[in-house]
Amino acid sequence: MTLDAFYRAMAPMLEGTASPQVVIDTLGPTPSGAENLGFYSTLVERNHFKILFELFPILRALLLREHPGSWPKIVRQYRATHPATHWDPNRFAEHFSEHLRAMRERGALDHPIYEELADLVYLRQRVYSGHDLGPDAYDGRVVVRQYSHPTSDYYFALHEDPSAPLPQARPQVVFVYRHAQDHALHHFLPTAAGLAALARRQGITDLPPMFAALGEAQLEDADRALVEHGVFTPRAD
Amino acid sequence: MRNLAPPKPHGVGIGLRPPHYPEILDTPRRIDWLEIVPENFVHTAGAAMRTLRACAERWQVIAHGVSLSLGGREPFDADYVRGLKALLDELGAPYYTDHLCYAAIDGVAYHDLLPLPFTDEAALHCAGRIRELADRLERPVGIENISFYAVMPGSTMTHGEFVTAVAEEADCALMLDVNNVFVNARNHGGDPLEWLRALPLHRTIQMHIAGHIEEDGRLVDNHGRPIVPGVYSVFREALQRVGAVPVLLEWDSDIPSLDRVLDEADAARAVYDEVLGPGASSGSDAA
Repeated sequence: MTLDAFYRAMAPMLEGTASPQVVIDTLGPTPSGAENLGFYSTLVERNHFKILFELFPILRALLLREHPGSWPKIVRQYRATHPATHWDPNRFAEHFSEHLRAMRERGALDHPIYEELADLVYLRQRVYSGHDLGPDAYDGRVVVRQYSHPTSDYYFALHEDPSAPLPQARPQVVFVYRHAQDHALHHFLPTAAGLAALARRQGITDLPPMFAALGEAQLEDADRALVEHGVFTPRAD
Repeated sequence: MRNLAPPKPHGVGIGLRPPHYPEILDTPRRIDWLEIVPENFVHTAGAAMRTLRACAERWQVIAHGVSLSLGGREPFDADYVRGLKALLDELGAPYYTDHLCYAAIDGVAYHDLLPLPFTDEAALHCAGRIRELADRLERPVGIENISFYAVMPGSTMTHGEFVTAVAEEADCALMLDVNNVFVNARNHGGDPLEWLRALPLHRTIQMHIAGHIEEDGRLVDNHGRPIVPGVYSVFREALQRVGAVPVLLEWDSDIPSLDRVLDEADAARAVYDEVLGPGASSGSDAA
């Protein structure tokens, strides 16, 4: 038996698509028996469930509330369509929001809040430890999202009350960011001036028309407010 | 054998784990050194990294990886290895340890420590990758004897023979996990001390001691329970054979309060000093 043959036979079992007996039939017997060999399939599945469980406890509870019994099926489908490929376990969750959206689009889920919560929670995790890239580290420390629902509000509402009713559609723009000084995670709901201030900090000069009426003083005020909230670091000048 | 510089840490350390970040820097209790899972810190910033840097000013920090898949067939992730080396350099880590296992196949990460077939081909394959990793990290690499729940088909040697073959061929250190010795002996049969003696103990650079659970008749190495007397028996024998190497008390699941973890570390340290002499855990010359 070569190592290549070993890996070829083991992969399907570890991914839950082949039984341990198939491995034994291919590679030969193990003194430990098929049940102990198959325990590795259980362990790997457990690991993937654990990653998503620890990242998305609120979302899991919500899905189980609205769609009893749905979570294990959702996770198993996700494993099958989006196998983990990164050394960072949390990156396994990177496409979970897309997966939930795809389920909604084919009618298996009934509300966009699931995919939006998954996106928000994954962003929180990335922002919490994301590398600072630039002077204000926009790519690593601050992320802007527009959701179709008040997803940031609902995230906190569910923490207060797991029975909080599903929200009605109402667009919400949110900064998810790691505080520039104390590194704590925060959400901030920016005004138009706040969005323009962020764009200006990023060196974006070609702003959409909605920002055209904003004056310099408004942008400065918004910038100062965002510094106070720890979204930006104070400018060197 | 590769030039193994004497390890800087001594005594009994604990793992630096997120539930303890808020309080670890304020604890008045004794912590000899810290071990981290580097995957939690490579290419990161923020509160966790700030805590690590503050800890590193106070304690020696050693990195023990879980994802490099030493037995895997994919090339090492170059970006990760560069980040790992930068982290180890920043921490002044004298060596790096990881598990003698594979963790991925064809790019799919299983996030587990999976046993290889105990064959000559696998031993040579692992040894080559361990040498490559040591060269890239520019420091010695130690391999951990893992817990395994099934002997893989095609195996032609015992676990002890396999670990020895890899360590000899790679000329690397052994990161001796005494809980894994106990768990393997219980799950596969035999005297834990015989399992211990089958390992290349003269290469031991560090030890791990931990708890485990029993599930459906098998012991599972979950690092989530207090250490049982049987593991302490293996620990005592290992200390007698290996001498004063740094020991890490692992508690990685169902993590209790920092005080509870430190109670367990104190208990392990008491055994350490009992076996090796008063002051041994402090690195005392009199020990």
